[in-house]
This record gives sequence, structure tokens and C-alpha cells, in this order.
Amino acid sequence: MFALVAVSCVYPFDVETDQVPQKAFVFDGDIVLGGWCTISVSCMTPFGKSSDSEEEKEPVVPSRAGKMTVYCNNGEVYPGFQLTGGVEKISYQFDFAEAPLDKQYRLVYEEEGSVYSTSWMDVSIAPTPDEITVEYDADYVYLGLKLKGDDSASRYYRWNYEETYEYHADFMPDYYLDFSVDLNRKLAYIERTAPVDPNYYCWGKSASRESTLISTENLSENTIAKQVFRTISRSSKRIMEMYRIDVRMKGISRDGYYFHKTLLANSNTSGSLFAPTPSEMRGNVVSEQNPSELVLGYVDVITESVTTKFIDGRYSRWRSPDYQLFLPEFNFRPDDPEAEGFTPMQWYDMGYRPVLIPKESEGDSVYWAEKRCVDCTLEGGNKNKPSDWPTTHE
Amino acid sequence: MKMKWVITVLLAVPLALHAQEVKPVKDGDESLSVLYRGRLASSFTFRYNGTYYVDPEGFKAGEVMYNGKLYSGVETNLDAYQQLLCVKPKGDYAPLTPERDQVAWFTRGDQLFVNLRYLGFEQASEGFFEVIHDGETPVVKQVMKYLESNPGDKNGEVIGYYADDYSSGVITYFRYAPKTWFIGEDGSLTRLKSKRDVAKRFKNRKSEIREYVKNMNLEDVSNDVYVPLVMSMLDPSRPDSGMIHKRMNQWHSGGNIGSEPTIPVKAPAGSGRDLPAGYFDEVKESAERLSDNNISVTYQNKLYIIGTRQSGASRATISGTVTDAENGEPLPGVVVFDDRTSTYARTNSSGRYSITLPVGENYLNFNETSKEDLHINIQLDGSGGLDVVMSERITALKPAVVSAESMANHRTTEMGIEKVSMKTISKIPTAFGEGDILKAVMTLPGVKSVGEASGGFNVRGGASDQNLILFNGNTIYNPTHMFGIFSSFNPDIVENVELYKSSIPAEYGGRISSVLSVKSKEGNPEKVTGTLGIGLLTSRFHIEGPLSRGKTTFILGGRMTYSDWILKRLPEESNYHGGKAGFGDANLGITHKFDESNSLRLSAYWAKDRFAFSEGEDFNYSNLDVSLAWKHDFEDPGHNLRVSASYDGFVNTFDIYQYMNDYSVTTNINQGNLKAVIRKPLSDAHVLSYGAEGVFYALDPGIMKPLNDSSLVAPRSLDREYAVEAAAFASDTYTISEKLSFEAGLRLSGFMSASKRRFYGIPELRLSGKYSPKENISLKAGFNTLRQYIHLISNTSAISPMDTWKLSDASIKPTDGYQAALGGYWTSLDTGIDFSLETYWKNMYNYLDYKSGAELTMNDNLAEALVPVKGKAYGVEFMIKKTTGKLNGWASYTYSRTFLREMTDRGVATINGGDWYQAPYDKPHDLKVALNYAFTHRYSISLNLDYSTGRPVTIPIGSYLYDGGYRLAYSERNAYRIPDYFRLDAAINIDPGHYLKALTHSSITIGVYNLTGRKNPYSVYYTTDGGFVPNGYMVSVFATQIPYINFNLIF
Repeated sequence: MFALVAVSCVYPFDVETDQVPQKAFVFDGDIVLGGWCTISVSCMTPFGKSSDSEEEKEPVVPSRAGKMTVYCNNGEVYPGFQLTGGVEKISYQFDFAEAPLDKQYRLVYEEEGSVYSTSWMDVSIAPTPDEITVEYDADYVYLGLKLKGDDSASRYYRWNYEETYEYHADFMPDYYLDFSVDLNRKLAYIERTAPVDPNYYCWGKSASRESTLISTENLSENTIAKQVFRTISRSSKRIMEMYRIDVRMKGISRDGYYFHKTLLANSNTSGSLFAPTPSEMRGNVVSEQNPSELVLGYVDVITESVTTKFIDGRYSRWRSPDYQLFLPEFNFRPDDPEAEGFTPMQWYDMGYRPVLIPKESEGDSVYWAEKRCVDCTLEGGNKNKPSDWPTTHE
Repeated sequence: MKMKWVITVLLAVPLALHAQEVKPVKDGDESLSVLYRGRLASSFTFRYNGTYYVDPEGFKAGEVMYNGKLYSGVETNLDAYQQLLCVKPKGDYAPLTPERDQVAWFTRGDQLFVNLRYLGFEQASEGFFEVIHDGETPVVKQVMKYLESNPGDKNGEVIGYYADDYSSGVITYFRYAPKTWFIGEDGSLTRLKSKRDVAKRFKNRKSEIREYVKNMNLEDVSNDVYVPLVMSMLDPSRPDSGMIHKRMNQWHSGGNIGSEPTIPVKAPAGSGRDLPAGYFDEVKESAERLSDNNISVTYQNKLYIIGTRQSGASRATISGTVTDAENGEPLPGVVVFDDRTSTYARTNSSGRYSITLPVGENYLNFNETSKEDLHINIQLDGSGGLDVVMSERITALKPAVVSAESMANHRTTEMGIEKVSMKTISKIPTAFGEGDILKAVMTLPGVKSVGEASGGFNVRGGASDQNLILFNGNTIYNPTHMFGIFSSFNPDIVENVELYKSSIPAEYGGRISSVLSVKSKEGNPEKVTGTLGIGLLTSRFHIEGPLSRGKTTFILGGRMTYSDWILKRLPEESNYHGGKAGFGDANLGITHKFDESNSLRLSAYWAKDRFAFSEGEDFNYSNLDVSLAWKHDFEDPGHNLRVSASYDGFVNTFDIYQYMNDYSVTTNINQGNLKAVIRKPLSDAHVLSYGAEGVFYALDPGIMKPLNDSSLVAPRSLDREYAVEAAAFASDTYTISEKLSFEAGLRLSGFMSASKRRFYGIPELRLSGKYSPKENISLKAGFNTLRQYIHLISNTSAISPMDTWKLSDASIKPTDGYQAALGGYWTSLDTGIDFSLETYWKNMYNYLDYKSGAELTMNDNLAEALVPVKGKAYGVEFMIKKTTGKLNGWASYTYSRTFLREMTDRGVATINGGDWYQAPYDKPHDLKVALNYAFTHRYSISLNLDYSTGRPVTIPIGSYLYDGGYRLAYSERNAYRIPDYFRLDAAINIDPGHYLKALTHSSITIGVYNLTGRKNPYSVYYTTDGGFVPNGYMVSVFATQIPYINFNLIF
């Protein structure tokens, strides 16, 4: 232990690879019955040799001429509708609204004479989480999941989440520069008349970058007591106003569970003494012409439940930036030719906006703030308020 | 308590022999000498003229009253160090020391020395006293010398020092002790402390004495001058009528002295005053004949006669025990061979050997790596015994000689056997300075590991679970502590280490690659000794000694760590803050000798490891091994029996803490073992070994339990597995001629799985042969088949606490191994350097690899997660080795390959598409150098160099977006390699000085591990850090120089 602590080190490492297949398809998505679902196909990006120039590394992409189909063992055929957009990743949309749950399904992908397919698979029915729990401490908010499953149902769970959150800019602008005057000669501004600046509130979206996997195979009950799957800093803007998380729960097959578990382990290896050796992971999509061809991804046949949880700003510990330290004070004095500083127009062109800061001892002062401090759209969000969003600031 | 081995070193050169009774001397057999027997006179080498004899004048003619017989015309001298009479036969023979207790008196020139205790003066000390004056008031003095290191200004005259210590800085002197004087008074003797005491004996003659001293100018003279002169004046009686001579003369009539002699000795019938005519002239006929029990005879250049000549007998057998002069313990693995006939034998675990030779003159060699070679002339008249005591090798400072073991290797069919002494092991630098057996083993050719700080090792393409690791016959399932940083064996209690990697004896089975046999000491039968070592991370101790002198010995050792305090002091941002890691182990051995033929040994070993680096995980594993072994030697030489019963327990537990899901998983192995081995020489050409072995297994592959009441984890246990592995085995060594010999062994092994009923059985062959066209050249070939019924299931590179063991059953077949090997060996007669070239080919079947992504923990259908693979391994091992001289050590280069291939076709899931793939430990080029250069007997430096090709790994060959983030696509299994490994270590060793009277001694090793600071990769890995862009990293376990100092206290 002492050795590991005192003298062990981790260094960046790179190695030239020379056994990279020309084209390895990646199938991403599941056959989710009960509605529309999307399955995409893309190609692995090989690491290649360090000697390869960027020009030589031509991206390998799937063909737009490809065709993806899902077959049901009752004879139904579900064609995939290729979505427009995307070059490296081509998505196919399926309508499984009427697909029966007691049948078997298989996916077939055809491209340039090659056929890739899965075997026939049963449907894994998704349970519905009982509750999305919220806990917090001084620094973080923890979102967990509780579930009491049917003992006869799948004991292998996989879920992802999507987040939507409302946040606001650091400062609400109270004044706007009056461009009707020469701002190189004089500072002139007008007061905000609307109750809320249009770029003060925004909505952001994000999604999990990897699935959460849980198995209850070793438990006495098919129960997830509480599995924390999302941790948010209380200083994050995500929870400053209103936050919503949609958990997409899937009951998956045992093989699918261990595929994804190994997939995550392979992609987040620690390299420690006891870390399992990473191994080549093939999915359940196989080339019919060349079964040894590397094909990646695991397509399961599942149903999906969505559980939503809203969290208001009660847990937020966000504070606006300390303007006295970080915002340059507006110091333009046109009557003093010796005065240093930029003109209002120059501040504006550099991306700053005037912000009125109330100061108890000296009265309100105007400071220059970066534009992103008063414009929430510059922090990743947009003005697309979800239709069912519960808050309004109009 | 004194340090036994220091004495040994000082007495090292003669390499004393102890001979045991061959045949009782017939009373009245005038052809036999009863005088010329006894311990070989010491033969210390002095740089100057110092001597342990009473004076430097050498031997002088005299008489000896020995065992009731008076011998005249004998060259005599007195060993003043050991207080022994030395007699020198005529001819080019070394002096002997007849048993002191049977010497009444002897003369040397005009000096008369008497054994006062023998003559009935019980108050006298042991040894010989020179009679200075005899009469009514006799005076005797005893001249003693003793050894002392760096004595300073003490009494006594420095007369020399031990040569081999000259350059060590510690000079050991032979010094005169103050002489002991006795003066007679009323029929007894009292101490004479000063000149004044003489006057006290003659109170009424004080003035006369004073005047005599004055007239003779004796005021300032020494006692040596004063006493004889004054006494001759005071007591002018005739010497031969004095008190001493009266006692001496009684022996001339053949009677005893007094009614109760101090040492009762029966004078043999036919005692005469003179030796038979021509006794000293007919050296070969009358040279040392070994006769009496417990009489020690020694000398390398003397001819010893064993047995009684019998008409018609062309061959006779010599047998005996070889013991360590340091502690009296038997020495296993000592090579015994005869130069004339090239006959070879090796001592067994009890130190017993037996060798059959043609009657007549032979030249026996005894060799053990760490001991001084011993060469003895033998006149073999009939079967008899010869016990040998070997001393620590100190030839490091002497010119290189051809080692007897080197030559012996040309005479045996054995190949692929590596033996490493603890002395050698202690010199090999390790990461933390503590002598490490496994690390030393890994410096040998053909032995590899997947990386530093890894628990297992790989022998000739075998997996880490394919090595049978035995500790005093017990099976050790996890041979390392702290993830492989320390080996499980306390170096202080280990006697020797043997690794069989090619010719595996038929008595061993159950693993297909190698047998590593580690044996502990039996305990010092003479006195209590021990060691104590204290270090930054670990401390250890051992103590050994007699429980019942001559009968029962014990040895107790222990180690422990206290590394938690370091972990607590690590910064909180480190992942290890507050973690815990440590181990402890204990060894106990008790050996009881019922008689010369029967002994019983109890061995126990316990070890426990625990570590936790995060709040969510806790790992523990432990070993418990107990064995009882009975050894019996039959009357016919070389015929012996070993019976042992043992229990081996191994428990592996890890605890996982998750909200309401806290649980532990335990796997364990309980193994009982019964084994009997008989070795019996059938004739001069055949030696048969046979026996049987039974192993009972009860194995829990997984027990899951909730750790608390709030845990929802359901208790669950995988089915306990029961099985019996039984074997009967026999092997015969057939020596056709000096040049050609074979060994054939057969092991019938069977395995019954009780839980999933299935029986497996197979005959295993163990064949080897050698052809030796010259005494220093040999060619050997061997072929082994082996079978393994227990398997380590792992998906990690190194042995991990998450691993589990699995027995063969209906679903999992035994692993079979076949190895053919060919070797050529040459010993340079000029330099003593050994060269060897061995090549091998090995095939394996039904070795278990895991499916990609397989879940191996708590899998009740584990067979489904595994795939049988076949393997092929081949290689060439070249080694140059020098075991003597100032510079000794070895260098080896190995080119080897190991490939695996899945045996079943699982379609797309078949590992690497069903092609051959590199084993995780396939490292083609392997260069190892282990050198030690001894500047002096105390100071030496050690260098260790290790280079090997990087091991195969499975690495990402690309990335792809999947499930919301970047994922990694991996290459085929083990398709790439990590960078090559190179490490150089150096150490300075300071061995203890020879402070004979010191109660404790210390040794210090100062070294640097990874001297060049090379950042050797242990593993490489890639991570997408939660779905983002992938990055590659390399883990280096010992990424910089690691200086260390190791201090050991020996008492």
C-alpha cells in the first residue's frame, strides 16, 4: 500500500494501433415497444496510428442507402424511417405503438449488400419507479430511485434520464445604452420598462451520458431500495429556479445487463491491480456474411416507463458573482480629457453591458458586466419553454 | 545466548564430519586403532603465526594413555583452544583429536599433560594441565587460548587472527587466557592465584622462600619461571613418586583410579603398551576406521575406513545424516557423489542420504549451495554410516573452484530444478529490503510475473494457479501479502526453496506447471536463538531452540504490518486517505525425534491480510495450514518412509457497502491431505520411490450474506463442492552406467467430484534421462504429463481478492499439461562456471479462460461464464551461473512464447475468432541478472537486473458514441503489449561481525530498488471519464527509486 501511495503513478499513455477494422458498425438504441423509438447506426472512430495525418483519417460513416427493419415473429414488419440530419450517425425511427408485448422481435440492418441482424428476442417489460427521491447536504442534492418490482418481472434494470431546467442570468439589466446619442462622447441609457428582461430566464436540457444499471438478482426482493443516480451541486444553476428530471426506466434482459455493465467497466477502467481486464465486447448484432466482423452495440426489446420529478429552487445555494471584485466600474468621465478608460461604445463593442448595482453607502452604481451575465442564452440554454412548465415570470 | 553461526564461521574451514558406528570393534583386534579416531583437529588459517596449539613449536613425540592403553611413539600436541589432545599419524595425514574424556595423560617431548578430572581431581576444570612440579605438593597449570574479536586492552597475548576476517574490519584473535594454576594440598588440588599463595602453603618456610627468591633474582619473573624453581626448592621429592604420578601409574597396571573414577572407562581386553608393529606405516589398512557410536572423525584429506571387509561383496552402502553446523538441523538437498564412479545421491528432507559404491577407495563429495564443499577419502570395506556436519560457505573470498553441486548436476537425470538458498535470497534486492522468496524465484529463468506487486508467478507458460506451492508440505493458495508486495513466507524461518519446473517427481501432482517447495527450519537443537527485524512497514521475529535437548526442537516466527498510520496521514484528496492495509502471519514448528530412525514434525502456518481503500469496500483473506509428518528410516540404508497428514484452509472475503445493500461474499477452500512416500533402493542400479496421496476438498465457491439488518441482500450460497483427489505413484531411477541413466515415474491420479458426480482418472508419466559423455558435460531430456483438478477463476491480470477457486466437475474438465524438455549442461573445469541451455515445449488442454464480460462472482452457473482453451508454450532458456568466488550469481536469457486458443466454437463470441492469442504472461524476451560481489566476508554488493518484453494487453482501438456518451471498442484479446520492462536494483550488504562473545549481532542492507527510476508500466488503461472523450493512462507501481535500509538483529 505504501508503495502504491508513495511511488505509484499514473501517466498519460498512447499506443499505436494497427489492428483496427475498416468499418465497424455501432447500433445504438433499443426496440422500445408502445410508441415511437429511435435506433441509430454509426461507425466506430478508430484511434489509428499516430503517424496518420489528419487528412488520411477519413471519417467512416454509414451509408444513407442503408435500411433498418424490425421483424416480429407474428409476421409483422416494422420498417425504420430514416431521419434526416446527421452524417456520422444515421437514425431510424420506428412506430411500435401497436406492437404486441408477447411476441419476439429481431432487428435487421442492410447496407450495400451486407446484412446485420440480431436473433429473436423476448420483450422485457419495464417497471415503473415508485419514487424519485431527493436528498441533500450542504453541497449537493442527490436524486435517487426507489422501485418495488414484480418478483416475476425482470431483475435487471437500466435507466437513463433527461433533465430540463429553468435558470436565469446572473444579473437582470435595469438599463440599456441609449444608442440615439454618441456613446463615444457621452454615456446615455434608458431604463428597462418590461418587468423581466427577455434574456433573463432560459431553459436548458441535458441527458445522461451513460445508463445506470441495477440488478436485484441477489436481493431477497425485486426491490431497489434507493439508488442514487444523479448528484447536483447546490451552486449549480440547474436547480436555481425549477428543475425537472425524466427517468426512462427499462427492464432489460440478463445478457443485456451484463453487456452494458461490461461496456461501462471497459470505458471507465481504473487500471488498478485488481481491475478486471478489459475485453472485446461484441453486441448482439451480427454480420450474416461475416460473423467475425466487429459489430458494436446491444439492441434489446423492451418497454419503457418515464417518471418525472420537479424540484423547485428551495435547494439552490447559487449566488450572483461578486460584482465589486469582478466587474469593472463604469468610469467614463467625458469632461476630463486625461481620464483613462474606454468609452461606453468601446465597452459595448467588447461585449460588456451596463448593470446597475445598488450600493447602500454610495447609492447605485453602474458597472460593466460581461454579456453572458445578463443573457442566459449564452450559457447553453434557450428560450424554448416546455409547454407543461409550471412556472411563469410574465 | 550466543549466535551459533558466528562460531560456525570461525570453525568453518574444517567442515567437521561425524561418523557413526559402522561395525563394533572386536575386542582384542590388534589391527584396529582406538587412538586414531576422534574429531579432526581444527585447521584454522592464520595470516601470521598464531596458533591454537599450546605453543608454536609443533608436534613432538610422546606417549598417550588413552582408554586404558598406553601408546608410545606418538606425535602429540595440545589444542589450547578446545583443550584437546592432538595426535598426528605418520604420513600425509592431518591430526586427530581423540576423545578427551578417555585420555588420562600424555607427554609432548618433555612436557607432561594430565587430565586431572580423569585422574580423579574433580575440582579441576576440564582439559589438560601441564605438570610443572610433582611431589608431595604438586603444581599444575593450564594454558588456554580463546577467540575474541577486537579485544582491546584486555589480558592475554594477541597471537594471530583469523585470516578470512582480515579485510572485514573485524579481527578475531587467538589469545592466551590467564593461566590456571593448581597446587596440591592434602591429596587434593586448590587454585594457586598468585606467587604469595605458594608461600602460604609453606608458612613455616617463608623466610627461606624469601631468601631463595632474592638469591635467584626471582622477584619480577613470571609464574612460569617462579613456580617450578621455588617448588623444586621446597619439595625436592622425585617426580615419579609425586601425587600426580601416583595417579598416573595406576593405569599402567590396567586398573582404575580410585573406587569412583570421574569418567568410568573400561580398559579393553588385551591392552598393551605399544601399538601393533607397522601401525603407522600401513596407512590404508590402519587409517581411520569408524567404529564407536558418537565418535567424531573428520578430515577432508584423510582416508576413512567404513565397514568390515566381507568376501564376495563388490558394493556397499554408506548412509547417514547431513546436518548444519550452525544449528544442528538436518540439511535437505545436499548433493553427495563419488568422483570415481560418478555415483550420485541427494539428502532427503530429513537430511538423510544413502549411496552405494564399489568397495575400495572412493572420493565422496558433499555439496550444498550455501555450505562449504566437503571432500572425503573413503576406504569402503562394507556398509556403514557417515554423518556429516556442514558449515556455512565462506569460500566467497577464495579462488573459484568447481562446485560439487555443479558436477553433481551432470550425474542426475533431474532437469529444470532451481534451488535457492536463503543466503542468496537475502542478497537479492527487493522493494522494501526484506528477503523475499517469491521475488528471488522470479529471478530464475522461465519464471515470470505479469508485473510488479502481483501475487502470482508464471512458470514456462503456465498460469499462476498451475503452480503447486507447498510450505512444509501444506498447500498455499495465496502466496503473497499486500497484493504481492511481500511473499507469505517469513524469510527468517525458511530453510530452503526448490522450484521444479520441468522434471516434476511423481510424488507431486495436482498442478500442471511447477512445484515450489518451501521448507522451514526445524529449530536449533542446541540453544535458543532468534532474529528481530523492525522496519517502516513491517516487523518480524523468530525464535528457535530446544524444548528437550536432543529430542525436541521448536521454531516460532511472526510478522505484522502497521501501515495504517501512513494511510491516515495521506492528504484527504488522495484516494487512500483513511484506508487500511496490513497483514500478519505466524509460523510454528515442533520437531520431536523419538530415536535415530523416527521423528515427528508439527508445522502450523497462519496468515491474514486485510485492506480497504474506500468506505465502500473491505477485503480480507487468510490462510491456515497445519501438518503432521512422521519420518522413519529403515535399517537398510536409503530405505525410508514419510507419512504426513495436513489441513489447508483458505478464506477470501470482500465486503461491499451500499445503501441498504451491504453484503459480503466469501469463498473458501478446506483441504485435507494424506500422503505416504517410501523410498527403497532395490539394487545398485535401481532406486524405487512409491506411495499414495489423497486430497479431500470442501470448497465454497461463494457465500453471500447481508452485513446488517437493514440490508436487503438475501443470504445466498452457491453449492458447496466436495471432491476427492487420489493418486498412487511410483518411480524408479535406473543407473545403467556412469554416463547413462533414466528415471521413469508413473502417477495414477483420479478425481471424484461428489457434488456433481463425475470421475476423472489418468495415468501421468514422468520420464527423464541423461547422457553424460564427460564428467562436466551432460545432455538431458524429459517428458511429463500432469493433470490439475482445481482452478483459479479470475478475470484480472494478477491474483485478486475477487477471484474464486473452482473444482472440476461434470461441466468443467481437468486441465491437462504435457511438457517435453531437452537440456545441455556444461561446467567449465577451469572456472567452475556452469552453462546450461534448456528448451521445452508444453501443451495444455482445458485451461479455463473467461468469456468477454463474464460475471465470475456469485455465479451459480460459472461454467457458462468460462471457456476451455488449449495452450502451447515453448521456449529456450540459457543460463550462466557462478556459485563460488568473490563474484557469484547468475545471468539468464529466455526466449519463450505462450499462446492460447479457445477449444469450442461459439461463433462470433469465440475469443479472437478461434485463433491463437497471446497469454497475458507471454513475454518473449526475458533477461535476468543476479550478481553478488563480496569484497570481504562482511561486505558485499548485490545487483539485480530484470528486463522483459512488455506483457500482452487488450487495449482500445477506437471509440464510438453509444448510449449518450463515448465508449471504447477494444482490440482482440491480448493483441497489444505494454512497453518493455526494465529494472536495476543495487544493495550493499553488511553482515555481522564475528564478535564471539556478543549476545546479539546485526546485519544491515542498504539498497535502492529501481535504481534508474524507470517508470515501468504495470498496466495501461483508457477511460472515457463518464462518457466524454477517451484518454489513455499508464499505471506504474514503483515509478521511482525506492531506497531502503533493512536492519536485522540476531540473538
